[in-house]
Amino acid sequence: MTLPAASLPVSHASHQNPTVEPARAEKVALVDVEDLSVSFRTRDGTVAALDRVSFSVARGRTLGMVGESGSGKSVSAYALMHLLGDAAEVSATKMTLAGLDLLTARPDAIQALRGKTVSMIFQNARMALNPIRPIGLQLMDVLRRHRAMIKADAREAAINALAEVRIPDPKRRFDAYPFELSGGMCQRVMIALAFASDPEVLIADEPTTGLDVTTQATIMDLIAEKAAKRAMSTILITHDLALAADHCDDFAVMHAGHVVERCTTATIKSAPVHPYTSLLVRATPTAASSLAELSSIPGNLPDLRSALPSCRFAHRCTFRQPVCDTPLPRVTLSDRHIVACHMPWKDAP
Amino acid sequence: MTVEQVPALSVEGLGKRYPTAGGMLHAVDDVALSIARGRSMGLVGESGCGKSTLVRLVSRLIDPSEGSITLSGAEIGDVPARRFGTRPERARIQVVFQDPSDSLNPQFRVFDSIADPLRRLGELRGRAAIAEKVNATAANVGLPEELLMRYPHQLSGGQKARVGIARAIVVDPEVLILDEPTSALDVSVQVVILHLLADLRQRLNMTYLFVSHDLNVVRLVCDDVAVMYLGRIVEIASVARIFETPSHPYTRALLSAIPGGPIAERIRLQGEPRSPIDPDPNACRFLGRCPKGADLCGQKGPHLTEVAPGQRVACHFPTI
Amino acid sequence: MTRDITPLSGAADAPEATRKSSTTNRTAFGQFRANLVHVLRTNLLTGFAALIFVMLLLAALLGPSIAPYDPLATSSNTLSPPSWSHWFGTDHLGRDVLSRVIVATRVDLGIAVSAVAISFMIGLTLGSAAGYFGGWTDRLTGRFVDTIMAFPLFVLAMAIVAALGNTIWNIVLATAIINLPFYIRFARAEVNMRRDAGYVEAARLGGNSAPRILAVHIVPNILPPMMVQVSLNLGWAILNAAGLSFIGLGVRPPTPEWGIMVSEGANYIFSGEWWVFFFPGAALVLAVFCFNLLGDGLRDILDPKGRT
Repeated sequence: MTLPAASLPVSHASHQNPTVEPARAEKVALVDVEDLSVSFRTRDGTVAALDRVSFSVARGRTLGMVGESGSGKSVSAYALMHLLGDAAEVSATKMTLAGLDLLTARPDAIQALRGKTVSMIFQNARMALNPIRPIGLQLMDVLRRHRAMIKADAREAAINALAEVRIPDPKRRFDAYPFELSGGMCQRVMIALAFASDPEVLIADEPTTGLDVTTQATIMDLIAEKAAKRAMSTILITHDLALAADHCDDFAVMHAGHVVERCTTATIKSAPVHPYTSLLVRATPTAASSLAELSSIPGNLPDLRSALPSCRFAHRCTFRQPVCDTPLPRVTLSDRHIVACHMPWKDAP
Repeated sequence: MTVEQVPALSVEGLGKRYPTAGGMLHAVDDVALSIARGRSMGLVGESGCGKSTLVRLVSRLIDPSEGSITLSGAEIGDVPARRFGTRPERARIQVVFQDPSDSLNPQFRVFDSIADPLRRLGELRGRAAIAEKVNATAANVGLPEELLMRYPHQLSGGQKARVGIARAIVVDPEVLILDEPTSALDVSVQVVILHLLADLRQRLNMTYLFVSHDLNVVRLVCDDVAVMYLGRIVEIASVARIFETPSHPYTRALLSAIPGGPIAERIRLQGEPRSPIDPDPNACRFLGRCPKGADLCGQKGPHLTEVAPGQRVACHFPTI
Repeated sequence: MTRDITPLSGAADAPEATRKSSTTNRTAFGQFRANLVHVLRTNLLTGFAALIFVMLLLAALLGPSIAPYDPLATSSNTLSPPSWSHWFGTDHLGRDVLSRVIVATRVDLGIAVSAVAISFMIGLTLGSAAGYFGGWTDRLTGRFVDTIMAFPLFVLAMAIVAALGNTIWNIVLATAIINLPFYIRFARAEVNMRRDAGYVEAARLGGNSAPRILAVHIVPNILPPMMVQVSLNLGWAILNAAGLSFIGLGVRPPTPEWGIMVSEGANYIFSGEWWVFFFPGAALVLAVFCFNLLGDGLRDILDPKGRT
């Protein structure tokens, strides 16, 4: 019994970075996380939000972290940035970011990294900006924090930054407040803020949710251009599989705090292995040619407060076998393809 | 004209203007569309295009500045919105809203949310009759009976969406307007709800006006599509035709922006959108952002003309 | 793959279904009780305030029956300090201070509750209408509120009582009037916020008339935050009534009332008979403190979703 091949339409120019040689890219993993586990102490019990999550991003490449809401994508990013707060217990065997070992680094070293070498952009851009300060001044603040410059230079640099993210009439918009701008423009300002420090790593947490599709395309183009120019690594967190397929080189598919599959975009389009991945693909409207072809994912996400089995997807999986109750393995199918699954169909007669 | 040929919903010359400090804002301008009984028409457009205003006009929540709205041939646009609630037509056209969290009263149990329109508009009297109808409707939308006594905050997103649908169909409407019914839902839940909506349309013989920003969803659920830009309809055709041969430059740009969509090469729209305040009646609204664009576009506003069987476009230089 | 149109109880629906499992089968009252218990357990101050509230309520309801002495009975045992026979001592006319403090609870609480109730109901009606209909309703209500707010409120209360006479009813009226702007504005703001909510539009689509939408759909949603304000306002209203009496414009002697008692006791601060003003003053402090804390606790109990 083989899994039917899921099919996302083979799209046009995905924004892989052609200028970075593959060999050089592989050597330098700018983001390297192994066995990251995060649990939260809450009133209702301990929530095992992440369980031995591993992912890595090489220089210049884009990783798409996809999964349904509640799968732990944002938690992973926040854990990486040390933004989780006191209620979280974080542990990992390896966690390096732009060369810094986050497990042993001092807090001020991590603080210096945040916003400078590693930038993050969020979903609701207007909320992330200071509502009572003109956007130009907010840009200047960031610029002057990372580079020593006098006000006049910073002002010019800010206007240039606005122009770079294609905000029309940047000189006039310099004095605009966030509430005067549309959602798409606010997001561009946030990108300008994120790029102001010339980061090596960009974490984008659902940057285009809620935006029009043409605005979405523009925003993703901006990120891709920057990534290409500066060999910047990007982690794109999104629930939109089609969007990720268009803009990412690699995928980390998450379910209930597990990374169930890590593979390249080509693989996810043609032959994903984990049952959840193919179900996700089949639930995406882009991939279906008719409503009947669109199928949902049975069952529910498990309650992360209760005692969980080794495989958190087993109770929803149609291929479940007794072997699935044994500890979950991580199978390396190839250099770039890792699956957390027993793959019980393989041994079926 | 036989009864079957009378469209379930038809709109002609519909316009809505708001006075603002800078002039008259044309939210909806000279919109005409027609949906045959049992068909599903998609309405797509980006933020600011006027689709929300159009939804409110057609569902009679607000009054048009001009134009006619007919429901199975009966004019409903002339009754003021605040008096429409007492008319019998109120039950014949209903709306399913986008955000299930916002569209359910937090202080009402699910049962009461669904029963309220029935109590106000239906002909059923007596608790037993109403309860029976509510239970039947809940079963129809796949809402388990034990959820009926809960409050909205105790339900999941998908369950809330079902409640919104149940509330809209409990009065047996002929026309259902769906305003982005799945945008706020997880992708897997979206699938289930889309299947449910398609099934309901068939079983209850309803007519849909399906508003969405997601062209892919429209492709799967609708028979026809109308594309809106800055208050006007710029293209209207069957779903198949629009995806195979999109004609209006804006439609083409939209389709090219969809990740993995039918147009491979991204069409980038430069420039800023024109202002909807006191727009020039003799110029195309898309001029300035349009990759095409000639002098004619600034001198004569284009109207919807048929460029292919069943495909109408408002453009001087449509792609055929 | 077959289409899953009518899945089992919420199957294929989203994750939050599991999160709610511990609260799903409760009724509204059960939920209320659970929240109550939780709040009282985690927030000692609220529990303490609740206790005080119960004590005050009992004192108000049972006052004369539990007072050890007749509050109006004078005696020759004047200005005697707290002792076993008179726990709070006696005042300048030989009356038992404890008895007077207990009986005064009924007066003060009664005035405050009546005033706040009247103010709340009128304010809610006017404010809701202004917030929902806008236009002239809003403008006229706004002018009305502005007129009241043009005066320092306590002075306005004084003026009303001075003009109409020193009766309990007039004190209630004056206190109600000066509290009106507060409720009108609050109701107006809350209704305005919800006027364009999805469920209001749905109610219009469901054939509800405007007054019905206001009364049945919107107002129940604004009641929880208003209840909090009511509780806080009660404390202020007590102070108001006591203040009026303190300056002689309120309840008249010999009626026991905390404000009057403080006023009478003020004469004896420097001569050392501290118990005459202290105990009624402490009762005032305790009552206001209690209502303020209750307000916070009420908010947590009534609207648990708002709790972070």
